[in-house]
Amino acid sequence: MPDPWRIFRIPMLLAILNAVGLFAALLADGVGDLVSWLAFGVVAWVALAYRKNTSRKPPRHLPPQTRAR
Amino acid sequence: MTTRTLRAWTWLHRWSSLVCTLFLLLLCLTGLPLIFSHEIGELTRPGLHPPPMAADMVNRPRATLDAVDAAAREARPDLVPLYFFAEEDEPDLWYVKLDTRTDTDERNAVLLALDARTGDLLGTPEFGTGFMGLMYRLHVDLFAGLPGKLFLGLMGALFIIALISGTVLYAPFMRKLDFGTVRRDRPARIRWLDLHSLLGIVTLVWALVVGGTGVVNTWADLILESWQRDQIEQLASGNATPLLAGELGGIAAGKRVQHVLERAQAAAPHMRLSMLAYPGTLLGTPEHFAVILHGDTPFTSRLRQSLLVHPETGEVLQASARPWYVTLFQLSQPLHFGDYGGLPLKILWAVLDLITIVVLGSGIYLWLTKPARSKGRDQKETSIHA
Repeated sequence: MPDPWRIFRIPMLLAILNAVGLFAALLADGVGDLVSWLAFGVVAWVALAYRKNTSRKPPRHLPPQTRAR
Repeated sequence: MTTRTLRAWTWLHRWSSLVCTLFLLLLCLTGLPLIFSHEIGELTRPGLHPPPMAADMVNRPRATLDAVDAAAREARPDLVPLYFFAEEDEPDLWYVKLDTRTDTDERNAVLLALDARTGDLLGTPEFGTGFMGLMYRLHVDLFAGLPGKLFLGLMGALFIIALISGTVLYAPFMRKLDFGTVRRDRPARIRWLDLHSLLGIVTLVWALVVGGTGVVNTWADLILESWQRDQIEQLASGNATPLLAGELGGIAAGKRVQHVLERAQAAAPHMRLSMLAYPGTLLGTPEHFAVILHGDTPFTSRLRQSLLVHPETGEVLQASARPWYVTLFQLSQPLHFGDYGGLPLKILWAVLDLITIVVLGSGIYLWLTKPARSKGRDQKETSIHA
């Protein structure tokens, strides 16, 4: 059984950011618009630029044939 | 999650996605220019702004609605006016829609733009033609009217099922992976699988809301017609609430339409005009003008209220409070269009739309490169999104 908290904590944070982006500008002009831009700005940044370093590469000193998997 | 339920969710995700993906790609691609339709309109129809007023004209009284009405009838003597539209960011502009009769289906209706200060004719904006018209029809009804709309609504509903089932599958898929992992050192299929689930989960709530409000918007005609029937029934049964009592006589000649607007504004002083519908049109009744007003805050400006005004007596009626499904529909429009937070929000809307295109495209790719079916246990991880 996967640990739901570990898997879903960041997606949940992003879901909240999505919701804030959707509703802030609808509920208030000015500051609300700004909050929406920031929230969706973070969402877009995570989608386009945030990547976890893949740690599957073995250390460099190993011979190349062991790197295959 | 047992293997059995995992397989069921996988099946649901695969087939709900496959059926709707091509239509969703079409909706995303045609929606992209539509996000900026206001800006594109500004660029391609620059002549429709009211010109600056000469100094000696500034203090003159504004043209009455009757003067605008007369100018529109003079420009198209073969037609009658149906609706006046006001745009929030263009207070000095009236759009007047005319047709041969008030009870047509408006397929051949003509739109005129007039200067609200002088009543001068500014031009005939071309809506629904050219490239943007094509994008609009492909996005809204596939040139098939109501059946086309309802069909696209069904595709949108499948898209929502695909989003939910994809989210369920995200848990077993990410069992051994940290958030944001894209295994660049693995084969292309694994890379795209990682990217598909990352981009999908990051934009999930936005996609659910834009998809869901899109589905609600496909029911626009049904919702408005139902509201219309409600209002007429209430009027007929004498259940309408009078907001201002009528009074006979006293309407100055040539001030009939202006009088209707003033009576509605007197009955609802904190609301702004969005539209005026002539008697006999879909929004009015055979005897009453309908004055459609909206609130003056960002939230309430999306919620419209219809007042019925009798042109002879000036009586103002409110047939029925806005039912919940009309409120839902009215709030669904901005949340689908992304037009309520300035140009930066539209640009972000476009970025999220492009990300959704990548999710849809990678989904097709993953299905096409699906490894041959295998019952082996270690196939499970890669077959989840296939």
